[in-house]
Amino acid sequence: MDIDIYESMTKMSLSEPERSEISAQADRLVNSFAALESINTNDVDVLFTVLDIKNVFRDDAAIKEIPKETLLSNAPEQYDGYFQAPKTLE
Amino acid sequence: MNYETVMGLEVHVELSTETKLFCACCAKFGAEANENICPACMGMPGMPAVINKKAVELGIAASLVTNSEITPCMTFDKKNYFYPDLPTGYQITQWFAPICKNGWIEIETSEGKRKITLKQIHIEEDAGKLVHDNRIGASLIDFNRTSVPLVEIVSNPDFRTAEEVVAYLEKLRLLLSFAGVSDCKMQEGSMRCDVNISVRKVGSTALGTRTEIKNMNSLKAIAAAITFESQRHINALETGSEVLVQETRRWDDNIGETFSMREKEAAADYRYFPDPEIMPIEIGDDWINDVRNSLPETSYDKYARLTQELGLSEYDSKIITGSKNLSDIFDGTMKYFDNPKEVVNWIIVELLSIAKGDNKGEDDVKIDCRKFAEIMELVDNKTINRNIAKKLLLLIWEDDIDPVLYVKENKLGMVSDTRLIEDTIQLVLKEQSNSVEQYKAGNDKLFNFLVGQVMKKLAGKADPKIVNSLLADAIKKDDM
Repeated sequence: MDIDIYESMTKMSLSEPERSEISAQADRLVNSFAALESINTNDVDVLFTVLDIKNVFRDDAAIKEIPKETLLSNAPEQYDGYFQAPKTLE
Repeated sequence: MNYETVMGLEVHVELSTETKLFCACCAKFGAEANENICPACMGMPGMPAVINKKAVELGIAASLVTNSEITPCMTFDKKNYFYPDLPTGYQITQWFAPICKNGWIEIETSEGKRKITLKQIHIEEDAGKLVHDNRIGASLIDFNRTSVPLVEIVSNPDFRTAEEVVAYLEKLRLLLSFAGVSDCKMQEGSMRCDVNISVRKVGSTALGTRTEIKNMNSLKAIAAAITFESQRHINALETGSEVLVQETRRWDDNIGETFSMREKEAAADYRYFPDPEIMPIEIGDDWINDVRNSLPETSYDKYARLTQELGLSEYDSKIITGSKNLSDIFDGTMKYFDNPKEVVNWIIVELLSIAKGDNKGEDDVKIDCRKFAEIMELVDNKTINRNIAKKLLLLIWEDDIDPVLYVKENKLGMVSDTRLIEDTIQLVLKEQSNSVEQYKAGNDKLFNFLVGQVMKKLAGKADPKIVNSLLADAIKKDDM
């Protein structure tokens, strides 16, 4: 697996030891799925779900259960009612 | 060398629901930061996404008004991307089986009528809002908009001119707002448009290098961005001044140019996969018919009704049916005061000019229709005259007064006592004898001056028509 693509997609920079560790893990994972590729699926419909349940809906009625302060307090950093994150401007 | 511009549009429209797409948080625009959030739209583990039925119904309505083929069994998928505006790390959207495909919309430009074909419409959740704060060197996140329901309307590359794009967006706005799908306010971001643009030599069928322009929040900005970007492409091809790359570009309205944002990630990078939490949704004919039968009058049907049945002018009808909001005010007021010409006049002449003074556009005008109608009723039954009525409208706009009560409390009712008006006229004729003589000598303009003097003495509370006629009689008698 090309670890550079993984880094760019997740917007993370990894150290060399991390790169080799994750690279090895990812290779094992991808290889274990490779067995699926040997199966011919040409005439098989895409399976979206194994459950026989359809049309599960919710009514359009607003509920507010947890105050904003409680939800914000869970964040490592907050500022003036906002969640604070490292600068992400691209 | 002659070039033609080829464009396709992706239009995001926020659905007019009370709540978000996959949780019961309020979805209204304008709340304080992070006021409308819960563990589900914050992406906390173990919070299942349960879809809002109204959003699906509005999606069906959008499919119907765009002549699209509705998918009998639609599904939702996860689109992976890492950016803090979506805390789950993916957006729930429709990739494999969107709600509808192959629609079309007819547009009209100076070149005539044309069909614009649609590839598909899909339902998806919106992302949150990031504020990049330089003072604290961090990004601030507001999750209010996270998971607000949208439809994305994807056209085929059918557009050739900015005029066609603007006509299409106008038409889409009318179709969707009258169907109750969305309020389609570009300034508030409830309707957003990305333009995919490329140029090619006339006669060529191959598409040129494509760029995507984002961040335009008015029709004017969209037209300007298209003109700039197509010229940039042509210059690059003609002079070799730069190499065109497939990328996303941001329109800067102040500078009037587009700027590169990032190279567009290839579709495969999003690693779409079926969302295992959201069960497939079957949309049968019965459901489609129910939605079809509950669709309100379109702006085009309404235009026909206003001009043909109610006898309103084409000009007035166009203004009223050009905005869902004005159209609602018209209908709402007509319920209480059934005189279409009068109602339209009050909306277009008086209400819109007050709104304009307050920097409010046609879609932002708000008025209590019952009170609005009461003013017209008070004029109609000659309780007050038009000038006082205009003042009352301003008072409703500013302070939400009750017009009937206000007229009573401030004794603004018209003087209906003819004797009092006649006596006042005699007083004015005496006081203004010079003006009366000049009027008789042929200075016709002074008649209005004399009317004004009488009105002033009656504190503006008489019917000017009656004053006019009584004054004319009095001057005539004076002559004899």
